Amino acid sequence: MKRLYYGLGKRKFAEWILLAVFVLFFYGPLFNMLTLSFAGKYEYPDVIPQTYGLKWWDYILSKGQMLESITTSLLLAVVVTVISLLICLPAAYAIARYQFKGRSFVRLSFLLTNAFPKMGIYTAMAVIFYKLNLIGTFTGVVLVHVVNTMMFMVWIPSGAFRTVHIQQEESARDAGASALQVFFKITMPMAWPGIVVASLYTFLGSMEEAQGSLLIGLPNIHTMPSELYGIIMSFPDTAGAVFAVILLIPSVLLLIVFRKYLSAEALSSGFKM
Amino acid sequence: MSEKLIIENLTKKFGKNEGVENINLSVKEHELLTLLGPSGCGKTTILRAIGGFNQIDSGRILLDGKEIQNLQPEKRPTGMVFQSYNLWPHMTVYENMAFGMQIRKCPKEQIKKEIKKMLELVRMDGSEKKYPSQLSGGQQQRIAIARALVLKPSLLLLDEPFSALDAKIRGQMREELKRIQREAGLTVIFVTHDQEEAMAISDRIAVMRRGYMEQVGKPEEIYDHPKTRFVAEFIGEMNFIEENGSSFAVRPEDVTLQHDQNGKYEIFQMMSLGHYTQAIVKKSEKEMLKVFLEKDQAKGFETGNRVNCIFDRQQEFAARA
Repeated sequence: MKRLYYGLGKRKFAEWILLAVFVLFFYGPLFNMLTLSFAGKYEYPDVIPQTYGLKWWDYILSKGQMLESITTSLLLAVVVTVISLLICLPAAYAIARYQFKGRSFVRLSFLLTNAFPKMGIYTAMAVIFYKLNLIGTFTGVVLVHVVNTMMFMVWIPSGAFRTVHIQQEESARDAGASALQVFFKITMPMAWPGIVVASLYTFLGSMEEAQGSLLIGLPNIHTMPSELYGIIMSFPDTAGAVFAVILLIPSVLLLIVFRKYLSAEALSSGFKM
Repeated sequence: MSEKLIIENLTKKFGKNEGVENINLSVKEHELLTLLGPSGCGKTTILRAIGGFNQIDSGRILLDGKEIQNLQPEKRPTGMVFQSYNLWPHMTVYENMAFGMQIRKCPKEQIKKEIKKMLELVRMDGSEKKYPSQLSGGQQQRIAIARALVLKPSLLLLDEPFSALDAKIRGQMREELKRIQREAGLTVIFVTHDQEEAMAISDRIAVMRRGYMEQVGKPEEIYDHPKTRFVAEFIGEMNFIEENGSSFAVRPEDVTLQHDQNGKYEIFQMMSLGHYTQAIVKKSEKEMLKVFLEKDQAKGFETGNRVNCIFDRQQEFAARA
């Protein structure tokens, strides 16, 4: 340690310590979860398992209900993303392109669902959904998730649409394209990075949403995060770790595939007022 | 020459005072007509109305004898080039140019052939595979023009296409445009606020001010015989001499200086501008004239000389209100 301190100098050493703390903070729990999931025998309060094995993977993967929740979650995330795109892209385009009365009001109202405690909104929704017979249905859970994702889905693509110049759209009209053709062949491809980022957030957001799914979806709809609650409460830590790792896989895969679109620029342009 | 485009009583208002009212204009086949005026005079409004990007309030626009004022932009046989951001950055030059032809379902072989021909016309051959961001501003505008021309528009509309370029390139592009227009036999409406550019390229110029046409005519006609004081001031350099309630307009090149010990004017400043010299002569603090002298003539004069001014040509306008 002393060698390191003098070797790096005072300032560098402090930075190094800070980095080490951050790494521990971010990756420590992840690492712990990974090792636990491959544990054979593990007893508190040890940090690492006593023996290793795939015992708990076998256990989780043999449970039909848990496998089902994986399918439900993936299907749900896809449906939520598609529906959210269909609703929000036209709204995002209108906000980006047209000057109309109440434009900033419309824009800010998409923030509302994210500005209040989620549980309050879910409870209110549950009351309404109960009357509409949406409790415990797939549609109900989709609706809850869509409400959650609207802000990202409107704001980020709207910022992306703003970077498309009106002349570029008009040139395409001039060249013989209809308004719809212009949108799909010129505007969308140019705004693509923003749309991808927003879809990614929506997909991941839907994958990890638990509160709303629990409140609206139970007893019929089991998503992975809502199932995780049950597992944590009634099984050993190691089973929870396995399930958490499974929950992590799609997120990590998506982030790796689309990482070139994940720029600070795409995000910040969406939040410009 | 036949009339290509006829505009009758075109009115397009934005709010109360903005816009154009009762515009009548015709453009002949193979003619390059320029709409010239300061910003906000309505020149772009007219151009966009012809291209279909402004819904007009009233009036008729006839292109090749057919009314087009109610058609969507994509249905009009016009080709438009804007000041900037014409090209689609996610497509190559080839894809940009093929876009319109693909929508028209032209066979691939024909698309390829036409694009090659057009790129040669604008002297950009071989740039098919490049992306717009790999081209300079001037090259991008050439491609934009070629992209409009590849669809064989009946009328080419240019909205200040060279304004964003630097002065030297702008000069080259003017010459190029003139050549392309001649070689392809194009009818063009060109919008600019740059009177020098308008003088250089136009067959006819329409000078506009606050939504009205002040004068329409050949460049030399407008330069030599401006109909209104605004046109006289806006086109080229002009001296105004106020005398007995009326004012005379004299071009700086129409003034001859003569040495005279008792002359009414004194040379205040001489400035060599390369191929000619500009002199400012002063009668009083308020009355100064700009005079252009040939290089040889200028040799005989110096700052401080007393001179007389002889006006070779002058034109009378009502005094400024």
